[in-house]
Amino acid sequence: MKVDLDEIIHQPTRTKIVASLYALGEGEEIEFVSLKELLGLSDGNLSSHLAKLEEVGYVRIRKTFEGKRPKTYISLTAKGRKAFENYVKILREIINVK
Amino acid sequence: MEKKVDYTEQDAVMELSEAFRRMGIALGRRRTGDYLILWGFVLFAGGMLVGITKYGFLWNVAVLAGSVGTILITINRVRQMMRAGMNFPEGPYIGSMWLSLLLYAIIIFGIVKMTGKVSLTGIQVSLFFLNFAMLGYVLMGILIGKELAIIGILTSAASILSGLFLKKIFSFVMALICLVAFVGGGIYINKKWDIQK
Repeated sequence: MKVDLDEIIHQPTRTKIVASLYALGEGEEIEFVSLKELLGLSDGNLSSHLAKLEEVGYVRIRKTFEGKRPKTYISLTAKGRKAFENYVKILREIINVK
Repeated sequence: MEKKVDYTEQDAVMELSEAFRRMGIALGRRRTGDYLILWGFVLFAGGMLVGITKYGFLWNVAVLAGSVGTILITINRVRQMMRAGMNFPEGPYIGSMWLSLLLYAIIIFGIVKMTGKVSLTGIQVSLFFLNFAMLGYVLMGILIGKELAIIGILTSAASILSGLFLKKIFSFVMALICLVAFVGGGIYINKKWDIQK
């Protein structure tokens, strides 16, 4: 039986993003700048991958203001957590077969 | 159109473990400043009580309360870190540095007292221990950020000036200096390592 890896997650930058958000904990948020620094990505690169993940409903992007400063918080949705767990499961199966 | 890259399952596993490792460190570093915030309040309370009552032994009570608090925070953090797979690489360095400073301060203080010819005033003893703590700030500046070293140097200067010129209200001034330096340093560290800043 051939099982396919989730193509949205199976991309170098997005794997890192989703894994980091998963490790952060259920329902927890991280600020955009902190995530960018943690992963060593540029603003544009992180934004474009987050947009893709948001499009499929894997991440939630919450924009707010703290005082006059705009802040963006990122979290993994329940759908995203499930997709990641499934991705890891399939990854394990593939590696074990190989 | 996204560029196709040769991304194997093994690459994905490596990315995953690296992402988990980095997030573990980020989570482990959170709220490290709580130690300094605790000591800020403890030393503030100690300084104020000694200033009001003139009972020097109250410093010992404050230090004992701070030590118990430090142990409780450490137990709680270690439990959390073990449960959530967090990691705090700087932790052992920072911890052993503060223990070494405390140990060396006690050794030097003991040697000075052992000579039997030196009589130290309360102000001198306070300045001695506070400045050892501020050396800790300067050293932590190497690991965390130069702002901490600046806090350490400014606090040292302020404490010495108070010891020279504000002898009558020294306990109160020291209480305020400790509050500002330790709580400020703690908030700075918590902000610096907060992933929701």
